[in-house]
Amino acid sequence: MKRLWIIACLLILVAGATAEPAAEEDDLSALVLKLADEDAVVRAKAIQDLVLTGDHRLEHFFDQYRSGALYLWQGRPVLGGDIRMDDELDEYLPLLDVLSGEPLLSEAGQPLESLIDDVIEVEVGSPERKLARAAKFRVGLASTNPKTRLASVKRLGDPPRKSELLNDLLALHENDPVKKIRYTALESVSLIRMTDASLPPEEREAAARQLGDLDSARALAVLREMVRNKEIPEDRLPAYEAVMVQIEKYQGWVSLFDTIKRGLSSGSILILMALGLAVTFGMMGVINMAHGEMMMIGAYTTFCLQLVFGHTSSEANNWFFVFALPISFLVAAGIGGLIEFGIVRHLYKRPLESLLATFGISLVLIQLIRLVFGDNQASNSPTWLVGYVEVMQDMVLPYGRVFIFLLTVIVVLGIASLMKFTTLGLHMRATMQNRPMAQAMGVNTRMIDLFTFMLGSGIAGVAGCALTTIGGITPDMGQNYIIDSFLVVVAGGVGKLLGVICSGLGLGVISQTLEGYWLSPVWSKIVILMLLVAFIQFKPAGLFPPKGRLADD
Amino acid sequence: MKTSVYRKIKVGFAGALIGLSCFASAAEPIKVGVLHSLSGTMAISETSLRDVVLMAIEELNAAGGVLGRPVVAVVVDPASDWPLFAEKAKELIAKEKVAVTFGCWTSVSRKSCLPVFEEYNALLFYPVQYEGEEQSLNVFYTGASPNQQLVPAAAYAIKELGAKKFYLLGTDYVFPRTANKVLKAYLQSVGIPDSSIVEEYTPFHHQDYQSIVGKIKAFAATGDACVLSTINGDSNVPFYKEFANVGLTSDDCPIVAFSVAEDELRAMEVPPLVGHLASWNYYQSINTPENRAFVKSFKKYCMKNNLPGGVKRVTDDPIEAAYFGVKVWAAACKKAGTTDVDAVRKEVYGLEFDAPGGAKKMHATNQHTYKPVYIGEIKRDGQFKIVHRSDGLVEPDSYSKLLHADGSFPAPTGGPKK
Repeated sequence: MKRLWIIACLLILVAGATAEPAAEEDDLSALVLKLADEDAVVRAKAIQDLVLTGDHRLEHFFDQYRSGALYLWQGRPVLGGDIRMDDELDEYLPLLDVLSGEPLLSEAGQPLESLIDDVIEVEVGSPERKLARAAKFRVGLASTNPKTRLASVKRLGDPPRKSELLNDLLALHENDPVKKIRYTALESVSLIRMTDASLPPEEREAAARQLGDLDSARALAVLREMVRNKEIPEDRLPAYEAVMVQIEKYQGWVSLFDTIKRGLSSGSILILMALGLAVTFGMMGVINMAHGEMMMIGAYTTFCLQLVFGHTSSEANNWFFVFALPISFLVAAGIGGLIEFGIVRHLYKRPLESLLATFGISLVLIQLIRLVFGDNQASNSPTWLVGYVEVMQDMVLPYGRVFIFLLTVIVVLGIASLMKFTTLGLHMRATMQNRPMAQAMGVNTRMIDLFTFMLGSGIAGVAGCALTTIGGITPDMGQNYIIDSFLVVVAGGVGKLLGVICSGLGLGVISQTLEGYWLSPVWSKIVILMLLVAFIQFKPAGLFPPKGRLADD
Repeated sequence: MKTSVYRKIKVGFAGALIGLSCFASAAEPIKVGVLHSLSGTMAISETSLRDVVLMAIEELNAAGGVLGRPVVAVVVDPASDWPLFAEKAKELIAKEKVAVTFGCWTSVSRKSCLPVFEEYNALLFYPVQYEGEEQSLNVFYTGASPNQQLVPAAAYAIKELGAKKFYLLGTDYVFPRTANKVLKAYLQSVGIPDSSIVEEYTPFHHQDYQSIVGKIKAFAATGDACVLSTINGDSNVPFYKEFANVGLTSDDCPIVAFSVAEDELRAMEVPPLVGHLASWNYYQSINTPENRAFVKSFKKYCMKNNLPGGVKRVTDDPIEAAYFGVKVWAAACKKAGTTDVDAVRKEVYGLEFDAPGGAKKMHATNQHTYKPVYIGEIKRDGQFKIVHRSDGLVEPDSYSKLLHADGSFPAPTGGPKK
């Protein structure tokens, strides 16, 4: 009996018309209260009645209800916010309005909250959760938020595909102001029609053709399954296959775009990491094993600034990131300077010892950070680096990746112009090429060494700051990148900026191509390492070996 | 030379500790070992287990100790170095003569020190969900076996989420490999065709999930796919971030994770994870007075001892399992009237007890624990909303019935010397 009811409700749910007028608050409140009823039939009926009111604000409510945030407080339904804990470890629940999600205010205008024991959590059973989920997308069609509408339009074209809402979807396809929603609505409609076994075959084929014209990636996946499961009649198979070829052609371009994008993105991260190393290893000949830890310090600096600025995922304060970039540079450069001044300086003539000493420093730094900060830390990216932009259909660029790419370009240009156009850069190059001669010409090579090392460390700090937007912050995060960075520097040719850029991008694109088309990440890593070993055999000095007299050193 | 000085200092320190506790109580203390990594990669997870074990021991002592004797913890640091686990275990058993050891997280660390425990017929309480396929008489497994975590999650995905296609994604080591073997066997047994199952692994510490997320996006385009993730540790952050950043949500393709609990979420940016799922036997959000008291006392313990995180510390499944492991051992000692391993083992079998998350039971023969299974949905505050509960306790399999369909299980290893 109970099951019958639920099925009946589901049917009504999806069949009901989109009613426009917003119901009275009190009526909605009374309906919401029924969700706490002991009788499952009453609860299911309440959800269905709520949907029939057609109030688009219910989309947020259904989402909250489904995830168990509905409470009864003094007999009145409220939504619960994030639980707050006071010094006594007692837990308080901020009370929010059921429809708007805004904090409820006391008569004095203070936000209301309740001791967790004084509210009753409204239990959501599995059938209610399913109903609420369907209802969420159902009322989401009328939402004022384009994101919600898009999610709803998309979801209704996914299984179980119900044809009851076709008219609503078609209306959105014709009238919605957002192009992507119009497109997705038509895609969903065609998907529903194509898979609807009750429709005549020619209509289904027409829907498939429509999807072909849309170059729909979703349709391609569905079509492949249909062909595999032999759901398509023999005589119509060629038509469907033509559609698949049509979509595959476009999606081939999409996957090429994706591969290039991923390659550029991995490449830019590698370059950002390796740039600092190219400066210290390439120009000074110091194998700095603590380079990865400079990056880690940059990431932790970003984390600290995030705490200082009070940036959290619920309350954004994006200014922290604006400060984080230069400050991580300065902090990492400062610590790099200390390392150079205290240790590396005394080991310039002994590369093996400097390698061991810096490796020791890296271990000390990792454990020190672990002792101070405990363990992994949550990094919340600034909100403007969360999300993506769709440049063309199905071609998606995440903001975080674009940001790192641009940052890399800026840093590379900055370093290049520093080297080329400033006196400091001139002195750096002079010291690198011929130290005694530079000294004889009055260059303070000690200072130049210190500065070069600080610069290399600082760039690593910036890389660490940037990486927090796409990854986590852990004490040993530097170890994940140090090997790859050395690979980039060695393959590019020691001491060559252009070499680092070419080999960084090259490694990024090759590894992403391997991963994207043929190999698992584990194997792609192995293949890359083998390729590099072979490459070094033939070009021991890297892509851009030093020329002329410098090559003799 | 250096090591011997170091050792002397350590022995001296341990001696001082024992001396102190002897002073406090006339009865000779019982020494127990704590074998969790406090440095290296696994410190992130294992430090919490050391903390909760010490808290449980403090509680035992406050209640008069075990058999009227105070309990003293000997904490060693195997430093996430697998062979070192065996050495440290040997040190605990042979030199410190501990009555029992609580420890290990990764399966490789357990496998590394298992021969030591079997050689000396010593006892280890292992608190973490793992891949199964093991049954040593010298280990009590208080975490979940595969049929208490993996299989119910897959069943939930099929029944409640309507999933028909599965992307099995894991870090490349023994737990995900075996877990996926079990999952695959289960999915095949319920009629999911091979073409609808993809298996993929990434190296440890993998950071670049672009291509994998791209593949998942294409795979999930049909709208009825789901990811079963055994990704471990710091790789989870870039994975979930990438997933959200290309526009995938839990509505497009839910991720059910087997290695993401509250303690991991504490160190992650939660918004990209909201709505995704996990499968465990315990959540901090279990709303009973007993559990709320447990959570409170753990937070208080962390605050009092100035542990990193302090009041922000959370409890999770392995923490609960480590905690009740200590209590199970103490209860068994009480019943046996001794700390002798063979006598204690006999008393642990079939022992019923109240854990923070509710009543549980030790299995009568196979060394594992009867536990309830909960599917939880990740909320904004890093806690889980329980969306599905098993009917009562689920019987643990030591060897998976799915992988040994003929019912021929290997005999248990270890135990008393013949």
